Amino acid sequence: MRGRGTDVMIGIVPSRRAFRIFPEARNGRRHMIGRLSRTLALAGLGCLLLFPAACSKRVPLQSGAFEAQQKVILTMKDGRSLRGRIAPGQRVEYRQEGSIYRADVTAVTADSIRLGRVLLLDDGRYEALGRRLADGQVVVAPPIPLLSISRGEIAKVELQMFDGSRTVRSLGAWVYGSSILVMLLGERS
Amino acid sequence: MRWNLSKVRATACHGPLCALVILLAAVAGPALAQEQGVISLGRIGLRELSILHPSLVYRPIDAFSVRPGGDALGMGGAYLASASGVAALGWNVGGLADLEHLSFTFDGYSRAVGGSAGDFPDSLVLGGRSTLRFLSYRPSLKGGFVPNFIAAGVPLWTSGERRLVAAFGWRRYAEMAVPEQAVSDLVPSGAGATFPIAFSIDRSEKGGLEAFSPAIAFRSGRTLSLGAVVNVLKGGVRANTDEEWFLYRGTARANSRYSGFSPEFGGRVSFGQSVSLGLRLVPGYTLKVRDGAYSRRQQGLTVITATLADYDLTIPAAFGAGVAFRPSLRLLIAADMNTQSWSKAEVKYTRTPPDSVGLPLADVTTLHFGAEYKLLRTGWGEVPVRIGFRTTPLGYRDIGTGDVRLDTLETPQGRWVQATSTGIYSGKQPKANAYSFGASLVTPGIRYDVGFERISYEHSKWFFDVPYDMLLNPEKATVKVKQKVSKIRLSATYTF
Repeated sequence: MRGRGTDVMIGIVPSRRAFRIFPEARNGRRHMIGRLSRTLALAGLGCLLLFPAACSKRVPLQSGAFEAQQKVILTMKDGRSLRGRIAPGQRVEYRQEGSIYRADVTAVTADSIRLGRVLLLDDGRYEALGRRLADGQVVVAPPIPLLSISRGEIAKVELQMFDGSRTVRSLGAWVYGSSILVMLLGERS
Repeated sequence: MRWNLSKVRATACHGPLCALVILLAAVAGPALAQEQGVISLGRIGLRELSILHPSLVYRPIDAFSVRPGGDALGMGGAYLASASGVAALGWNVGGLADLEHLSFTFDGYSRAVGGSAGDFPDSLVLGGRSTLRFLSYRPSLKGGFVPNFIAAGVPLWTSGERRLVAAFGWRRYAEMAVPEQAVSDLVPSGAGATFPIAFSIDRSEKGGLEAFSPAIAFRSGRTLSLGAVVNVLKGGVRANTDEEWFLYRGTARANSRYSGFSPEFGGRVSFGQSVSLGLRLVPGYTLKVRDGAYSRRQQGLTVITATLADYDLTIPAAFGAGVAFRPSLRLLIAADMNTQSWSKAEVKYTRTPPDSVGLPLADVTTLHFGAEYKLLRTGWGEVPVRIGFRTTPLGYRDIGTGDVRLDTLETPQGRWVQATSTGIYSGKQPKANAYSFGASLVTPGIRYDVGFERISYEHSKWFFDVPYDMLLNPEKATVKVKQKVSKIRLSATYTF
């Protein structure tokens, strides 16, 4: 009975004294921590793999017509772009001269697409810095609370789709690379 | 339990277990020191190790097989002038300067092997009474997957055609591990029903000589690219040999640790779009071999332990040159030459030299030829196919029967020693040719390269990997082993 009770103490309250009596219990805890860290490392590795591996492709829409539920990339004649589902209430990404904004579509009409709550995500500092050096004065990423894009300005409409083939290729490369890394680490242990 | 050498020797003919102990005891001679169940040989050098476990000494240091890239393998290794991207780190670091974006490369290879020996002894006699007949003897290298190369490169500065690229790689710098196995089937000779008995040796080896390789390359324009890499060498090999004959089961363990530093330089000159020349130079360097240990256990008890003397291995310079010719957009033809005077490698013990025999290394000069043809060129990518050929002398001398002799000066029973004390090995250098082919899938951002190589050669080994054993190899027999090695190498490159 005594041994049984001691076992419980080691399992739940791993005191130093308990480890002194049963040093193998310390090893057990190390193994448990080792297994946990390995699991966490593998989970992290999996997330890392999925991040660069998930790929999308752009399919040009010749007609220029798109539907509200389709994820599209609209490229304007002056280089600006709009990415996302173009429907009221949808959140989209707007790019202008290297700066990236997040915006909400407030209205879609036959002539224009109106954006509200346009918030700056990235000011495209390198492009802006380059222009500032070139022109002497540039206002970096001015705030744009409201924006209206005329449909006539749209030069290209592309459908953003999941690229299964590229994702598989990419996933294969990262899984293979991770396996090589794990095996190299294993050889050194 | 206390071992007494005279008693150990007196029990020599009572079984294979004792026979092995006798062999080891004879090898060690007066250097033996005895403790509880342990015979300590003390500090030994390569000379003693070549008797105790010859395969740990008779082996090449293979600095070629570890070079990365399935495309390079498919080209037969004719790759110095066309090496490009992160994989160029292992070939011609000048080619690293072609890199336009952040890129990762991963590489590994799988080895499938087969071996056979035709001239092995036909029987062994047990205690002068019964005889066993060898039905087969199959020595062979061991296969498996070898992780080889991980590297990343990124352009640091670009201005038109000029570019500065940095890279860092973790790679296998030289193949030091040579795992092997030998299996033999025996039957008792004479009339009556018999059943086969198996003798086996199975040596698994882990590790190798690795390099952490920061590199930098500069491209001055379309014509000239230069690069340099600093290889910080680390690693080690752990060999674990399982032996089984009759009721005897034993394990021999050996390990060594390596460290060193090796710079490497590469350059490429391009004449227009069609002709390129590539050069690679690895100046001589010193590899430190430290903390070596050897032990042999039987039935769970340690019977032999030894410390391998630390030494510095002075490795001679390696040089390579190659040319690539592109007669059309789809076709590439390449030829390379690589040379390294391994015979000039010197062993310098850090303390009092236990011997002066060195390693049985031999000079290597290889010729490589390869061709690539872009079979498919479509909007989503292209599929090049390749064939190649290379000459492949192995960088060592194999077993020569004159390498060992029985020295009876010190003890009446004799002691097996190397025949010469000056390190002259009498074996021959194994030579062979390798044929290869391969293909790639090249798509924007992602690239896979696969290469296949087939090589076959013949080399001499001691029968059951012992120069003399009163049970297994009483006649000091060697066998010619025909070795076939097939290698598939896969590399993947991801470019952002």
